Amino acid sequence: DAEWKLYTYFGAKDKPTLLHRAFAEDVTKATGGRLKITVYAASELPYKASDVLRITAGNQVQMGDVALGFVAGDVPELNALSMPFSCTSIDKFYDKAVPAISPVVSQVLLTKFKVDPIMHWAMPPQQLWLAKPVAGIEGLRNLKVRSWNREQAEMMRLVGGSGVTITPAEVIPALQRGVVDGAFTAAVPALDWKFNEVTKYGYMMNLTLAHQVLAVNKAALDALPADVRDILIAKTKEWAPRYRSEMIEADLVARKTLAERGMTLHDATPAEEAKLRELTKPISDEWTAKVGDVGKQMLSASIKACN
Amino acid sequence: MSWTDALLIYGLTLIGCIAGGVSIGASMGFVGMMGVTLASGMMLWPTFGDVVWNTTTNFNLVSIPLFVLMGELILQSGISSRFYSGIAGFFRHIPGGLAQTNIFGCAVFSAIAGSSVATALTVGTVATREMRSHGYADTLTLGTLTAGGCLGILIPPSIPLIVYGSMTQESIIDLFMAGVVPGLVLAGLFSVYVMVRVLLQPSLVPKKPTDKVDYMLAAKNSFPIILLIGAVIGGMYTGVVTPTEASGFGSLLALLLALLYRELTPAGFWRALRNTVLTSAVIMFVTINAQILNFAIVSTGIGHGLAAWLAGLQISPLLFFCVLLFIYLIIGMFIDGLSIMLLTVPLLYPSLATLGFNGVWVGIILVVFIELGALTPPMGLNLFAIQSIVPDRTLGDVAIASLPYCAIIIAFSFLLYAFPQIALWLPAVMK
Amino acid sequence: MTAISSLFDRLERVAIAAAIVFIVLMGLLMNVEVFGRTLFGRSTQISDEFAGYFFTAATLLCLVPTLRHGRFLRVEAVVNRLPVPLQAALKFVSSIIGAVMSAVLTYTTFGLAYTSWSYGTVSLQAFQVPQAIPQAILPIGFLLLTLAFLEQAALAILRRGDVDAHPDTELLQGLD
Ligand code: NA
Ligand code: NA
Repeated sequence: DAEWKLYTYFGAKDKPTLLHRAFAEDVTKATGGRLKITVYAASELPYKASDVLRITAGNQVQMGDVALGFVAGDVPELNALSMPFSCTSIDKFYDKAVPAISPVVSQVLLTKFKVDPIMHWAMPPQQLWLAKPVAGIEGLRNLKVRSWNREQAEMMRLVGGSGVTITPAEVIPALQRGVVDGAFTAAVPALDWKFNEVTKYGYMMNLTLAHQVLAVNKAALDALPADVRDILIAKTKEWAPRYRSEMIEADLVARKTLAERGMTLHDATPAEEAKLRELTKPISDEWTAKVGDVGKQMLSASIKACN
Repeated sequence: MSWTDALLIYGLTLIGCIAGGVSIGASMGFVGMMGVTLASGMMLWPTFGDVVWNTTTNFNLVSIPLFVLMGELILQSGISSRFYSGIAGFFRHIPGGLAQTNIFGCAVFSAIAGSSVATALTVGTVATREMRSHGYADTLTLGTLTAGGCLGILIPPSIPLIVYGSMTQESIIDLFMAGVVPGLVLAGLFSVYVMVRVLLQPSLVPKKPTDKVDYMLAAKNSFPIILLIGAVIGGMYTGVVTPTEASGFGSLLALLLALLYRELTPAGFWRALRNTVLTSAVIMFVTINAQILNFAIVSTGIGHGLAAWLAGLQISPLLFFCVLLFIYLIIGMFIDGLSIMLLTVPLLYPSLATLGFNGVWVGIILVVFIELGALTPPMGLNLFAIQSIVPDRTLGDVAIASLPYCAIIIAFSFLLYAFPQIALWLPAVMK
Repeated sequence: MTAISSLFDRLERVAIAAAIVFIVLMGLLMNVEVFGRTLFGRSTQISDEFAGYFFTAATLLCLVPTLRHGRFLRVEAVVNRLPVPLQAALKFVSSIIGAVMSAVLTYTTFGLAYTSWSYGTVSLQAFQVPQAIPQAILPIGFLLLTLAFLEQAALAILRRGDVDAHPDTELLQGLD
């Protein structure tokens, strides 16, 4: 009988962790305990978000919740969905983008890391949370915004502001004291981290989805008895729609709750969105120039699928 | 192997290593490696590499060397002796005199620093030498510093509270507010203790000088430090610097002040820098190895076993609180505070919530428990911090000097249990 | 043995100087970030990332000097009450335990840096620093620490009773 560790870099009480736990329990039950998956959340094991792919490859854990945006240092060519506005709809992500790009992702992860992405899922779109309301894109000029990757920092530069790197633990104090004027994150973590206490305004621009895969160490997967492996794979097919609906629901609830707690949430108008797309185009141009054919193919497939 | 057997083996090996003279860091690392290897062979060894890298690149820990540097610069430039001779005038009528300034200084410095080690190290670097030159007994001085350092994680900003908030989704702002009053009350208790102790044992402090104090001169001499601390706190509360950056900013200001007073020699500057790198290496060596031991405890199931046992206890909240205090007292003897937070919160928070304890209050009480751990040997980071700046004293000396404060902290935790409002009042009125 | 010890003596002076350079760079960078952000609204984008690299390097460089000056934290109350030959034996055993521990860290941190190198891992931030470069200091530092522990073990046998091979006179100067 197999005992697996599933590591997620989300916190113990975060929505994705709760989903992973429910999924793990269901698999354990469905296999009659022959595959027991234990979920470890951030800080329960000493790994960072950017370590997840490598520790799964090294069989330090058998299963990892891999954010392709956070492992872009290992597989830059899979980071297509971190390009601004490449795919902003969760529905289109599941219905069209995943079928189109999952073969590429599997191929890269299997050959380079011997890791099998058995399920794709998405965190709802990244939004911009600001201490003060702004009047459109022009209002972002001269603002300092905490950004956790190059693309977000570059976007802030292109709109005339500045991206600032701040360690996760200091984001809340930094927002409270005005070290930065705002920060990027999705609505669900914004609610989890109580952004309503330190920011007033949500600029809902749907910058990017966070493309996640549940990845399994190939050797560990192959070592399972065939029937147990089949149950696991069948369970991922059953659970992908649940991740989808629960994350969409969580995103709606988070937006609603943040608004009830006094925040103003402004949906980017079509004109604003068009302007932002145009402004941020150099980011994906620069990226495609660097990552080669696999990346190019993945980006164009996602854009075609999602727009 | 059951978790109780594992716990027994780890505990005995650790105590054996430490008593046999293996350095505390190496003991913890060795036992951690042994535990992981016994449980799963070499499969998880690569994680040791991740632990080292993720610890030494942790931006919150980066503040440690720079806060030490700030203290060293103040010390080597003579600004600190000015300050102590100045402030001595103001404190001469209070029993305990300069010993009170240590607690006062730690409380003020806590408003800059997010960790108790940074607080104890910075104030301790400056204070130990000045107190000795003024004729105070080490037995009094060392305890005020290790204990005063504890205030660093209670009075905001506080790294353990940030970590707690991020794990439990309690509001970090509420947690910070909730730490203020308990921090001040605890500082007050420490101060009262020093008064009583000195009244009972006057030989601990020098005889009072009989000449009159020139309060103007005293104010002038204490001004540079007050300016420095004021500027750093101001920088933080106006959003110029983050809590971690406050360490770098403070070092720069300290250097400017030192140059301004023209008392920092090149040799003194070099000594400040050298003490800084060596002291931080000592602390980091322990911290890295504590993380390895922590990993062993998680991956061999000791943590989960203990939590399940606790959750199964059918006892009253007060008794549960006592059991909890006892467990943290024991854990605190072997693991550092941040690791305790990382290790125990995911395991214990659910059962505490079930028992109806307020989440913000739990955060504060855990920080108080962690403070206790920082003062208990063999693994007491504050003890290490202070001993690393007075290598001519043994760890035992420092531990004995800190013992009374452990009792005060235990008593204080019961006070917090009886009157949760000490913590919860301020966040409520700030809403 | 004396030759090895004097080599270490020279090495550790260089190591401390290099560590100081790293800490100074770290402080400078942090202040450049603060002033750039406050006065010009611009971030260095690398302050927190490079601070981590510098601190790692400074820490690893100073492990050997701290060990050799007896600054690693130890509990001596028990050991000091034992007869001298037994003290030397314990000193030997404890140095070997230290050597084993740091040898494991040498091996595993080498694995970390090697994995980063073979995967071509870079950081997510603006400069995309290849992680193998800052990580390479880890195995080097722990390898030297392993050797320094072995030196201590050898000295424990050679000098038997004279346990404290390197009294910390120089480092005490700042505290008298
Ligand atoms: Na503090
Ligand atoms: Na302790």
